[in-house]
Formats: sequence, structure tokens, C-alpha cells
Amino acid sequence: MKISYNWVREIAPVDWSADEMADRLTLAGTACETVIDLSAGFAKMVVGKVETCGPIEESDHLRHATVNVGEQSLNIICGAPNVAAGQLVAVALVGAVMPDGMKISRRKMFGIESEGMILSERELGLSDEHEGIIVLADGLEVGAPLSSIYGLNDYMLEFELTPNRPDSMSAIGIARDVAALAGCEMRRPEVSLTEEQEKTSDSIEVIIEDAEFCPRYTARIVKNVKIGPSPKWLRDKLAASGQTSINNVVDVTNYVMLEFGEPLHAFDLAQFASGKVVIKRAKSKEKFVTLDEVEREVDESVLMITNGSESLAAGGVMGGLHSSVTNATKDILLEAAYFDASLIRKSRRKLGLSTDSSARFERGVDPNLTVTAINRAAQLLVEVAGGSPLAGVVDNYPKSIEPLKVELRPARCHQIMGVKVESERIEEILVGLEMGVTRSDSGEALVVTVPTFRPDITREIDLIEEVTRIIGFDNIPTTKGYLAATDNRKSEAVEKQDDLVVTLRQTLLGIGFNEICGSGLADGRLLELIDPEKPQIEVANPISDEFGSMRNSLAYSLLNAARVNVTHQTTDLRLFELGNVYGAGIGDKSQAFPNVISADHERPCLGVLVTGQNQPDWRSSRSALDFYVLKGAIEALRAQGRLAKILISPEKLPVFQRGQGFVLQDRTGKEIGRIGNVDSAILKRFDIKQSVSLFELDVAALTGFIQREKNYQTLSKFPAADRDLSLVLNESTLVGKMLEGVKKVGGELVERVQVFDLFRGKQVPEGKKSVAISIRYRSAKKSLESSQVDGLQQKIIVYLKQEFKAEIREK
Amino acid sequence: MSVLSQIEELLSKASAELQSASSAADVEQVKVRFLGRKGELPAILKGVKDLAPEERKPVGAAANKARVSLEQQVNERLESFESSSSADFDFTLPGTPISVGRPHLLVRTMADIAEIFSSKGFLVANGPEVESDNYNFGSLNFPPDHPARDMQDTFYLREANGLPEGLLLRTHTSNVQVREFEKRTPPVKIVAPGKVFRHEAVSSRAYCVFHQVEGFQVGPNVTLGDLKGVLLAFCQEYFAEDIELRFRPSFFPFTEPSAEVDMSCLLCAGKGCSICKYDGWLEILGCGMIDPNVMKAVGYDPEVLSGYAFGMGVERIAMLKHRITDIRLFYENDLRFLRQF
Repeated sequence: MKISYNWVREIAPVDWSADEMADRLTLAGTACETVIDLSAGFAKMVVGKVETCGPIEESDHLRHATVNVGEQSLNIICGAPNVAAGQLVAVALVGAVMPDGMKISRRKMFGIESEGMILSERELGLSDEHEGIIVLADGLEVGAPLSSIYGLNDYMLEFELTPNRPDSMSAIGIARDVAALAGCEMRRPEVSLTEEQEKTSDSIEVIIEDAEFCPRYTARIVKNVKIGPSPKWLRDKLAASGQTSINNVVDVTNYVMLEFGEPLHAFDLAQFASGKVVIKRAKSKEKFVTLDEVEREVDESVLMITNGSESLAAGGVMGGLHSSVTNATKDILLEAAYFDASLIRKSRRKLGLSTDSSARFERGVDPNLTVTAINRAAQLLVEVAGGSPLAGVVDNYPKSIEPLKVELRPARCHQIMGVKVESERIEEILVGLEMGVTRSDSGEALVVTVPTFRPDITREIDLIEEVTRIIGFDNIPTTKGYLAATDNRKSEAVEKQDDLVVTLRQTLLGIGFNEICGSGLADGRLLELIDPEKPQIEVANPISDEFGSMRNSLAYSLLNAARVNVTHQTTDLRLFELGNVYGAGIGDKSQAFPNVISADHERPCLGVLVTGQNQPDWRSSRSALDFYVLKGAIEALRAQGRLAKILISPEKLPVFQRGQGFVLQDRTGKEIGRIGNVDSAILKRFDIKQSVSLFELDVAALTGFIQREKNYQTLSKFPAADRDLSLVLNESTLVGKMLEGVKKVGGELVERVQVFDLFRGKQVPEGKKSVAISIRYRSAKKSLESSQVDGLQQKIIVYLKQEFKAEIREK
Repeated sequence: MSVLSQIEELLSKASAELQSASSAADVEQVKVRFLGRKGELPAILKGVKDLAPEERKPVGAAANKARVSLEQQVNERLESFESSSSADFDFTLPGTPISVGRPHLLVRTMADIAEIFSSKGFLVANGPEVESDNYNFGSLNFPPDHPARDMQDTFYLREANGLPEGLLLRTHTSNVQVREFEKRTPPVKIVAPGKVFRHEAVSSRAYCVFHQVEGFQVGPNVTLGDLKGVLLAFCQEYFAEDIELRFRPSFFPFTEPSAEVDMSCLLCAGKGCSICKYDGWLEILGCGMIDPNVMKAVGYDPEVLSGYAFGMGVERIAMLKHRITDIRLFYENDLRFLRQF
């Protein structure tokens, strides 16, 4: 909302500058965001006195004047016929900027340097008059700023008001806060009216069909108005409050709205030939042309002001084009009403229109202000449009809305604020805000009568807020009650999951994975490509298709991040995200920890992606960032998180290449994630032209994998014996199975088995692969004899030959 | 040959051999031969006990002197070989790359914020992102059809694919307030970091997803002064010790009184600069005393208990702290950005 600074000061006489007023109001919760200096448009424009004026020989119409602008005389070339010595004129100095954006500079013509410009009304944007320059009245001070004459010697205060403060949407409302802060008396405009004999009620009747939504409707008739431009004072105040002047009648209704906060509407009385104003709900699919010349469809959510048969205005939002005041209008019907706030909210949504009127009604105007406001408008119409008000108003107000009484205990105020405010001071603040205050019978509480312009105040706490904002937060001392101890136990399951998430994150960071953060919103079409069967949560009102669904896997976010990085030539990636995936009913309620994680439709997951290579350095060669790096990462996570074994089993999954996708399972075969090499068609959709591997794990399920803390196991004091073995295996032999077999056959003396080489090629027959393993033997009880180790090694060799058709390669 | 001259001869022989040694291994061999347990010098010393008592002392002294001298020479020669073998050691070669990942800046920022509150005894809690109207609005004192709802443009979810009707994406982490209140008995002190969603056009200043940290305390005598205290303590710990705060009364349906909090500009300390748009203040969070209606909704008695709540935008804080100018960078996940922090 915008309002004139001068106007506020007329009502609340304070000597604050506009900036000070803005700051003090802001710190009292009436947020003034900007202060615009309206005299700024007349910068570098002054009153000048023409000292000499003569023709220029080479020109047929230009004249050369010398103009005293206070401290100096300037040479100015001027084309106007009416310039003469002795005149007081408006002069734009070098550097001034005209309303059309033109900048005044020195210009040399006919050997004379012109050092400014003598102005016409049009050049100042005051009127279309451009035949001659402005000749100012005598007696003005030479050199005085032009803003002191023309300007809106004023500031526009621009407010960002919170929705709970309808009372501050007017000059009086702002002035009320100013007066309360400054402790000064308010000077409200005096409303007085000379009326005709003829009564308003003789010409018009107001029928409210729906009193729930229109609790009050006040009408008044003003006859014989002369439509025309508004006087300067009215135009200036409107301009300084951000309103464009339209004509004197419309300007008066806007003026009173800005002054009191009560939206008014002026109809051409000729529209009410029926003698009736009927307020009723619109019919469904009714068509209505609003003042902005747009035909809109309305329905029962819109209240129409009608003459019984025709709709003339959408109540509280905007008038109709056909009932508006025109230059031919003579008699006027003024409306001041009180509409239900939530209805107006629905109406303006239906109409797709937000107006100054609807903004006030939907926050709540004062139901008891209609008569004052309508009389004020009539008074001004007499003044600026020569109207004749008929006697009285027609006021349909079936059920009077009374001010509320709310008790405020100063002790409670102390309890909330943490600082004691004397009850006399509280009373002073509330009275300053135009509330009535008396003592309760016990004397412990103040009984506050809350005026109907404060619909936001219904409870004690609302009054405490008023006291707080007027005293100012700055005057409340800071205290350290925040150090009070509380019981912060979490349930064991929540604790477990929180700890696991930290462990997973720290481990992945430690082994070189970078954390990403996806938005959670996702493109449903790509989700479907990744998981055609998996249901999605869809946004009903998305901002675009790109954000139309909630992600149902982390693969989506990881692939998006990979796309961004690969596009910028960062092709070697180790990425992870710990975040939620979403789906109907996928929450953890049914899991091992019922009622712990209260989310029903989301699950915390871990997603990890690799692509590209480890870059070589000066002594190591490059190695692929692929599936096996992921397996290694899972082992690292298991070790750090003390997690039970995670099984991997082949499964056809659309996100992965055929034969290269697997589900991750617990011991019982329950699925807890997936791992594999991403399908090339999917990569193509993500503009990625290199192979990508990823895995996903359900963090909530993983919590169930956490094993008990281990008991200490004694360390063997005896030396280990290492034996290497080079094998040629069929391609189809799974190395993992072979390693498991070696451990089983070797028994407890085999401490570990490692694969240290794998190759195919020249020395290896077609369809075979060469695998080199290293076995470490150690006993907890004694030093192993080499014959015993050799015997075990031989047993393993026999087993590998029999079970895996392995050939043993000689060294 | 007297024992003394034997010692002298041995010393000069050993010195000559040490000088001609061509490697550290040669030096070690010489050392063993002359000084080792079965070496030549100890052999001479073994004979000392057979000498006349008056001869023992000078011989012992000479033998000891010879030992010290030889040991010194051995060490010198060993060092000379060591330094010559270091000639090909280039300490300026780059270190072996060891990959270390970086946390996402938003996650780190949330963790840093939570850590400060943890140190003051706040519990860190989470709440759901897919939320009901009641937890996001209703129980937080947002009446249906109230203009306050316009302050937070909401993504609503479609009743489809098994999802029940009436769900939305939470617009603030304040939903955790009610969810935790339902579970706990006061006094409580909680911070809740998390993701929130707003139906907003994406630009460099706004994104449809962002993160918040909600904090609240409820107890028998929790006051506005305590709220001011905790926020000042947090900002001074997180940003800088000389930070000042300014509270502008404002409106949030779930707190009353409410305020928006500005922090003195980090860059210009309130004098005015481009970061604070020449205002000297930076808007940093919203806060207030928990509205009695919120308390009543969860069965807390507002006559006995009071509390405060605050909420801060994580992106905004990270942007201020690191002078980041485009919020979208957080969600693009370009490693050139992420690895800067």
C-alpha cells in the first residue's frame, strides 16, 4: 500500500522526516519498505527572472534571454513567443532531467551557448499546453526550487503490510500507529454535510438477500454532480499515494478509501431506475463485464450488486463497465458496504482480479465505518463536483457488530515478554491505539474494548503483541532461558538411523565420493523411463513438467548431476546422495520400528554413482570408475557401519543393461537396493555418452543390518605363510564362488584369500581367463610347518581342479 | 710392538679403509671388522687385563679414544653416502592424489547450524516432507481460506497412484513443531533442519525447493527475551562475534508476537554496501512466541507453558556467508561449484 507522507502528518502531527517515519513504523511492525521523494522530479529546476530578452538575427523565431536564477545569470535560447523581460519563469538548469527523460545540457546555437531551458507546462508534464512558457506569479523568490511550487513537495511511503493488519491500510490507520509511537493526538478530518430536503430513502431501497456475506450495506445519493477533473490538492494527494486521477467523482471515492480504509463505490444512479439495490449471489456461469472491459464468468462465490434484474458490480471487487460513472452522469449512488472477508477472497480468485477494494475487504474492514465514510465522500463531492446530497443514508445493517471486550493481565504480559511493563504504560499504549481500557473487578486485569477496525485482535495474546510492537523489541532485554535443560532422548531406532546416516556420509566422503543434493521434484517422464512399474507421487499444480512428480529413486537425481558435470567436461565422477525418495505408503511404519519415522510416503535412501576413470598420476596408471568401485564402496560402508552381509543377486531391472543389473538383499532375500551398469538408452536420454554404474540402498532397511558391538578376539602370535596360485578358469566360472570355496576347503587356517591379477588374451586360450590368487595361512595356536601349509595348498588345488575345472599355471 | 702402537696402527688402517669405502655397505663392513663384537679393537681390549697394572690405564684410554674416533668417522662416511643417494629425491613432485569427497554445502550448513544448537542442548529432529494440510497449516493456526495462506504458495499432491487425498509438500519445517509436541512432554528444545517446497518461479533469487532450520523451545517460563538471547547467541557463534540483531514486528499465524530478524551486514558492519543493498541490515530469519492456539491444538496448556519458535533459510544463510549469487547452483550439482566449499 502507498500513502502520502504529508497526509499522514496532517492526521498525526509529528516532526519526523519521511525516513524516520518509515524506520519507526517498520520497527513497530508496520513495514514501510520504500520512501520515494516526489520532489525529485523537479531536481535542478528553479524560479528565474528574465532580465533581458531580444531576438537573434539569424533566426526568425528564436530569442536570446538572460535569466537570473539566484546566484548567477544564464544565457538561454528560447523559442516561445511570450518571453519578456521582467517575467518570473520556470528554468531547467544544466543537468536537469525532463519527465520524458531528456537531459538538459549546454548547447551552442548561433554563437550563443544556451545554459538551460525556460519551461512550458507540457515540458513539465503538467498539461498539454506548449504554445508558451509558464509565467509564474509575482512575488516568488528568484532561485527557489520549482518543487516548492509545482512539486508534490511530498514523499510516497510504500508499505508491505502483513495480512493481519487491515487497520493500517489507510492514512488514518498509519497515522494511528504514528500517534501511538509519538504519543500525540490525532486530528481526524471533520465530516459535516449540508443536505437537501429530499431523502435518500425516498429514492432507493437496499435489499440484502444474503446477510451472512453482506452484513451491512449503506447507500447515499448525491445529485447534480458535475463530472470533471479534480482540483490540484486532490490530484496531488492521490498521486503521492500511488493513485492515478480519473475524474472528480472516482477520485473522491478513492480518496476516502485511502483516508479511512473503507472502499467506496460510485454508481450512476440512472442504473437504479428500479429504485432498488439488491445484493445477491451471482448465478452460476453468469457473464459479467467488469470496469476493465473484460468479460468474466462468475458463479455463486461472487456477490453481485444489482438493481434487481441487472448485475451492476461484483461486490467488494470491481464495478461493472455499464454502471460506471461517465461524463454524462448527473446523479450518483454511493455505496459503503461491509462484505465477508472469506467471500471476497473467493470472489477475487474466481474473477482473477485483485483490486484495492478486494485487498481491504479480504483482510477485513471496519463494519462500523460505512456511514462516516459515505458522508465524508458526499462532503467532498459537494466540494469538488458541486453535488447536492439527499438527506440521510439508507443503511441496511440487520445485525450490529459490536466491539469485543478482551482481558489483558499485565502479569501475563510479563510472562511472555520476559520484562515487566507497568500496567499504566500498557494502558497508555492501548489507549494510544484507540482502544478503550477499564479495570476488571479484581483490578488484576485490564478490560480492553477493541474497536471493530481491529478484527485481528480477539485474544489476550493479540493485545500483548500490540504492547510489544509499540514498546519495540529493542527494549526487551536478552535473557538466557534457552540454556534450560531438557530431556533429549531419542528413541533407539531414530538414534540408530541418525547415526547410520552420519556414518554412511562420513565414510563416502572419506573414500572420495562427493555429495550432491537433488531437489526432490522430478520429471515424471524420466522417472518412468528409469522405473516403468514404480508408482509416482504427482504434483497437482506443478510449475512445469520438469518438476511435475516426486522422485521415486535417487538414480534420477544422480543421473541429472552426472549429466551436468559431463556436459562441463567433468567426466570422472564419484557422487552420492543421502535423501528421501517418495511414493504412496512407502514410509517405514510397517518396518522393524513402527511409529518411529512418522513419514508415510517417503523413505531415506542412499544413492551412489560412478563414471569415468581414476586419473593416472606420475607413478600409477588409470583405472575405471565402475561397478567394482561400487562393490568396494559397499564393503567400506559395511565395515564402517558394522553392517551385516549384503547379498547381490542378478535380476532384470529396466534401469540397468541386460545382464548387468542386480538386486541387493538381506540374508532372507528381502530386497534393500539395487546395483548395476545403467542402460544405454537411459543414458542417452540424460545426454551421457559414457558408461555409468550406480547403486541404491534403502537406509531405513539398512538400519536393521547394524550388528552388535563385537567382542575382542585374541591376536595370533604366530607368523603367517603366504602362497600364490595362478589358475586358468572357464569364462563362465564366477570368481566370487571360487573364492568362497577356497575358504571353505581351507578351513580356519586360511586367514584371507585375495585376487591379485586377472587377465585374458594371448597366453590364455579362448573362452578362458587367468586368475591369480594369494592365500594367507595362519594358526592361532602354533607356527605352521611348511609341510602342513603345502598340504593344505594341495588340497585346495585338487578341489579347484575338481569343482571349477581349474588348470594350475606354473610360475 | 707395544699395545699402544698396535692401537695406533689399527686406527690408521681402519681410517684408510673407511676413506676408500665406496658404499654405505662397505662402511658397515669396516665398522663390523674393527668395532664389532668380534672385531679387532675389542680383541686388543680383551688383552688389557693381562697387562701390568700401570700400563692398563694409558692403554685403556688410547683404546677408548680410538673407538670414539672410529665411530665418528663411520658416521661421517655413512652420512656422506646418504646425502649422495638423496640426489635423485625430488621433493617438489606432486603428492600422490588421495581422493576425498566434499559434503554438499547445504548439508554442511545445516549440520553447522544444528551443531551450534546441539551445543546448547537442543535435540535435532526430522519431519515428513509429504505432509497433511493439518500439520502444515491447520494445527499451526492457519485458518482455511485465510490470506495468511497466500504467504506460502503451496504444491498440492494429486490423489493418485495410491496416495490419499489432501496431501501437500510442506512449505516450512514448522510441521515438526506439532509432530514433536504430540510425542513429547515439555520442557522441549528442538531444532529441525529439512527440505521445504514453495510454488515459486525459478530464478537466481528463488527456487521451488529450499531448506530451513526450524527451532523451538517450550517450557514453564520461556520468554521473548530468551528468544532474543538464543538468536543472538547463534548468530554471533555462526557469523561473527560482533553481530547485532534487529527485530521487526511481523506476522506469522503460528507465532504471536512475531518478528522478522535482520542481522547487521557481514561485509560493511551496518554502514551500507552492495550486499545489504545499502541498508546495513540483512534479513536472516523469522520468529515469535508460539501462538496459544498451536499449544492448545497439541494439548499443551498455554496458561502454564510458553514457548518460542524460529525458522531460517539455509540457502540464504549459505549465500550470505559465501557470497553466492545464484540459488540454482545448489541444485545443479556441478562439482566445480560443490568442491569450492
